[in-house]
Amino acid sequence: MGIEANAGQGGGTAEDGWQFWVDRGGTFTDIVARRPDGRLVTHKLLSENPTRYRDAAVAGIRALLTGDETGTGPIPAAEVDAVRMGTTVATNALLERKGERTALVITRGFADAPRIGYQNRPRIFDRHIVLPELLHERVIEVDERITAEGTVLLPPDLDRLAADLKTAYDDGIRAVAVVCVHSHLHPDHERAIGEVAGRLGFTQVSLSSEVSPLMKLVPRGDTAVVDAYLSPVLRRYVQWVAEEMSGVRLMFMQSNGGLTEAGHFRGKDAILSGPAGGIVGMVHLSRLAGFDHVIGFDMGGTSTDVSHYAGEYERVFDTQMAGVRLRAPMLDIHTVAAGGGSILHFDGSRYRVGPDSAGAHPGPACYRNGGPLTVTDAT
Amino acid sequence: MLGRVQPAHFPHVFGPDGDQPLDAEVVRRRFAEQADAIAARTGDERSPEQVAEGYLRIAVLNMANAVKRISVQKGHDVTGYVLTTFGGAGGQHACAVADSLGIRTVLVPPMAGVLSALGMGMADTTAMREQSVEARLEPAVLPRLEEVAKALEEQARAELLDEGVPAERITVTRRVQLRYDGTDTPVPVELADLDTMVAAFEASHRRTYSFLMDRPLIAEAVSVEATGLTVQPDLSHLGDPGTLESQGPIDVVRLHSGGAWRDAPLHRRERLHPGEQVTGPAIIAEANATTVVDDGWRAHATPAGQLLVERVHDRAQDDVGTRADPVMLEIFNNLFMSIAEQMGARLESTAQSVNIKQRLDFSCALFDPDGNLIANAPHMPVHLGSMGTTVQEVIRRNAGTLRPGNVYAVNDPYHGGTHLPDVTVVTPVFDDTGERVLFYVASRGHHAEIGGLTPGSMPAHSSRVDEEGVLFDNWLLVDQGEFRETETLRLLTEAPYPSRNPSVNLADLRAQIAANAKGVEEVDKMIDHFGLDVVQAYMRHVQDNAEEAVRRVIDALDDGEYRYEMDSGAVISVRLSVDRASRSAVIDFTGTSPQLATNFNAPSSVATAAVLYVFRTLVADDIPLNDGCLKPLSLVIPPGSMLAPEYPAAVVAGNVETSQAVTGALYAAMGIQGEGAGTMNNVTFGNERHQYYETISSGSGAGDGFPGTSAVQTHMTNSRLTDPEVLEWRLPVLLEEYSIRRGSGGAGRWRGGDGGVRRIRFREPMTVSTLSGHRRVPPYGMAGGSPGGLGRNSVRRADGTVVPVAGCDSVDVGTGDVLVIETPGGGGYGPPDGA
Repeated sequence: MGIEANAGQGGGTAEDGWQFWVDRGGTFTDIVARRPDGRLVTHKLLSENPTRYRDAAVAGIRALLTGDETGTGPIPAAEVDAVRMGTTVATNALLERKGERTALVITRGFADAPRIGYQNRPRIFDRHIVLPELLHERVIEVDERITAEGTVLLPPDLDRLAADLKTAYDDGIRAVAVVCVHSHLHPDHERAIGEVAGRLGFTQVSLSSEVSPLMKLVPRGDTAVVDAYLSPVLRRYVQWVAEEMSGVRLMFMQSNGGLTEAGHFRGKDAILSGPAGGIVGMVHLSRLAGFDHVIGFDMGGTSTDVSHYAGEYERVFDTQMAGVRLRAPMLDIHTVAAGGGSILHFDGSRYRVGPDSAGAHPGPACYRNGGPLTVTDAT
Repeated sequence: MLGRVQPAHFPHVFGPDGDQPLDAEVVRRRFAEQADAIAARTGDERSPEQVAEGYLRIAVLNMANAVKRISVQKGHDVTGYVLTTFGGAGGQHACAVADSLGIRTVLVPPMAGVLSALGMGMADTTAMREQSVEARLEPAVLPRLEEVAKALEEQARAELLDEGVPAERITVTRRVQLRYDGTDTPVPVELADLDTMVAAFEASHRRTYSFLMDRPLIAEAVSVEATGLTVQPDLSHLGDPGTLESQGPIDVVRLHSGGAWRDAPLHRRERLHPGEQVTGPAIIAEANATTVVDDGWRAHATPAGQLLVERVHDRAQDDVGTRADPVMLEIFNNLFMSIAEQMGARLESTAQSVNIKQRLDFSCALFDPDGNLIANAPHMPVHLGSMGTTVQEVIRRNAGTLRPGNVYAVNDPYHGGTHLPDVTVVTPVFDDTGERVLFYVASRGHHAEIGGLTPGSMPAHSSRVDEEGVLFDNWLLVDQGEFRETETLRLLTEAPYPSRNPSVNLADLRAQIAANAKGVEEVDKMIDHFGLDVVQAYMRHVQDNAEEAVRRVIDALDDGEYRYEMDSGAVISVRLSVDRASRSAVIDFTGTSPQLATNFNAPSSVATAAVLYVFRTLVADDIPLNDGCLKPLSLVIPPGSMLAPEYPAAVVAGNVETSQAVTGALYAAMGIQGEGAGTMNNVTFGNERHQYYETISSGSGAGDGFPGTSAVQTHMTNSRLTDPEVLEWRLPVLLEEYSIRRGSGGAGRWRGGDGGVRRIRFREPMTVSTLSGHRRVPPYGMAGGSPGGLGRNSVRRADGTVVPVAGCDSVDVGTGDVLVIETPGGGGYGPPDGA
């Protein structure tokens, strides 16, 4: 990638207004703004501060434009050229299991495939084996089968499926993930099922053959479920921000390190939305300083992200996060639960750091909210 | 606490009105309280500052280990790298983390505290598309790849154009994911002509895995990435201090560094002029971040506004005493484990067989000069507990003849091995003079083909160990640096029942040698860093720590005994006698059945592994499994019994089935929990063209306060299962069902986990073999809980008739027949409600 010295045309829009670059993280929200005169200014505020504002990104932008982060009323769109944002909204929904109520539709015989996975246990010496909580709350098995070569052994029984989906809809479920065996090569059954779900009024339908069209049922199925579970949460957030800044061009950072228009932002691509911006910035500035072999070290409030760069962005295609297998291109960022907010313990014979974190609320002891002792406090 | 963050120079955004500084007072009070508490519990008189310093040291190590995982573990030498630090807290610890990694340059970019946000402004717009192809890479398939790529490119371009990116700023990369047929790890290459793609694939494969294979290539998928280039923001004013005069430090603060409070200058970053230098210890504060320049480091500001921090004095060796220190204990626990983990990563990436590379059926560990296990990565429990015996055998047999550069291979169950598929490679680590062994490192891998009566080397009906394959008895694999390839190949091919795939055996053995070499390298680094006496002292301390943890477990145990009957009628008898005064226990297997005519015999190290595993699971603490756990325990295993068989008894099922039964017998004697699994449900099927092996999970047992878990690998195994689509792609079978067998877990106040149901339909004739247990004797419940449901094997013929299949059996199946394996449920705990 080239580094250019002057700001000019970009993204096809006139650049005579403000640009806001926002990192809405777990503890802090950081904003860098490019003012109309080209100077860069920054603003930092707590991501959660419910007594002062509803959303840190909007409040911060408001503060930079008007000097008051607690204000109300629309952001003056005419003055703003674009907002580019990385957000942990989806990551947090995943970690806290606060996504959309989701039903999984899967080939008969495989209802338990996401639960069983590859049948290994996460911690080999635990007698009480705790597997990650599933994201979907209901499974609907569908009678259908295609072989690896594409022979249809059994066409989908759409009437029976429609009845089951109707029940789920009546129970208030609005998101569906559809996973058929071998659909990455033979997607017809999934598409037919998706149409039925769409007709019944489901507002989110994630087909595994669209979300991750590659072999391996288990990660493809998990990816479809994650997408169905998180996309509505993202959509609500995006819509809400868009309303507050009506008319402003809004781009979001994806896990792969590239931006996308708000309307194209999907749950499966949002997990590393926050840290991805750091990698891009780290690479650009390290190269500006003449380095092309770089270890990125991003220590935040709840965790530390490390990355490796030796000439090109490194991506992984399979990853596991919060107990969920996810298959989507993502920057290769390794996260450890050691951040400024990691809680310090003494267990009788050894010192421990984390993995639990004081988060933004209450935060470390020094934040004046009655929090526990943390790395930040020791610092 | 230590002055690295200065409340006066940190944003005032706290308190009810968001305008107060950080609260230093409460922090000092709380650390003082904790120092008092630690002194009261352990007598360890540390100042509050030392307590805080200890915690920071651990946090720094955890972060450095994370960096190693993404760099060193993948073969990159990071010592010439720059550590670019950002995020609010990065600059406070960057020098310390760099020191742990041997990195001498730290870059703190402008706006480091908000770099993620700045990166949003620099990022390009992307649209990515991919599509599965799954076709052999040959000239005829190229037009199809081209066609798929073209369609994807159109979609991706359209998305960017729709987002308002001008066409001239769009670039597109088109890639094909290639893999060797029969493997699982694709390598992306740019779409090009055939020769170019093959060359690119081979170069990348060799770099990552250090070998090539003689197999056809599969084009797995096509992917397209369209990038809309962003115009980069102008950063030229960031290094400009403007009209501010350079005035040196604006403050002098107290910084706790190197064990003492010292005066340190505090600079404002925005006032540093290009070229200005700051020598550590010092603090450089800016709006959203703080950089601590540690002792021995010097920072200077560049014209572009970057802060470059470089090590100017070599650091002294870490001054750590040899006395057990609670901070260093945690650090060494992690270090030892990290070495074993790095060995595992090397083995996984360089091994060639599916069983090691994808099912992860291997283990790596570190041993002291007496062959005691010090630490392992969390791999396979049945391996970990029995590898010490292997290392000890190598020590005993080669006393006086061990040389630097020698590497040994062992699988002989009568000379340190367990069963033939598990081959252990042992490498001694010598001191500089090449005279004294300081450590041993070892890696054990399950070779899915090592000869024997049947393909896959898990014969159901072997009666002598020779019928189970090739024996490595104290085999000199590498002679002072020379891999004895010819001799080893001869061993593999000239045995009475030779290996059917010796080239893969050799490749995997080479990978095991490489894994050990990684271990040696890391041990050497550790010794350089801390000094040999310290490392050796902590080798003992971590074992003492584990020993104490097990003694605490024993304090809470009572005497107990159990006769565990297996389906064949063989009995494992165990008696646990606890001596409270000496805080020790005797585990006596007297009364166990004599050696069997079948292959369910297990060398005594398997029973040791089961004991070690069981006691480790009772430790409610995150300690590495090591031989310290065994010190308070004495084992009595009667010679000539099925747990200490004599040559030439067959043993292949001992490692996979009897090991689970011993585990079950121990938990029962302790009255701890319901039985889980008690078997690995081994299934092999194949014909002249295809062979396949898998182990199927059961339900785990319930205990006091927790239910069992359904369909999960338990106890001595944790190997992965093949994905259903991969299974059907590679073999002429159809997976009709793999589900949880609801209701099969034993009832109880806490229910046992349910087993599984696996139905495999065959699309051509094959032979099926089973090695499984709990088909006759149900998994026991505990404390009034009900037993779990029996497992059951059967074949549903194409005509609808159902034929029962025994626990250990062999059956021919035809096209359309379905193998049904129902695995046992776990035992319940406590009487069910209302009972």
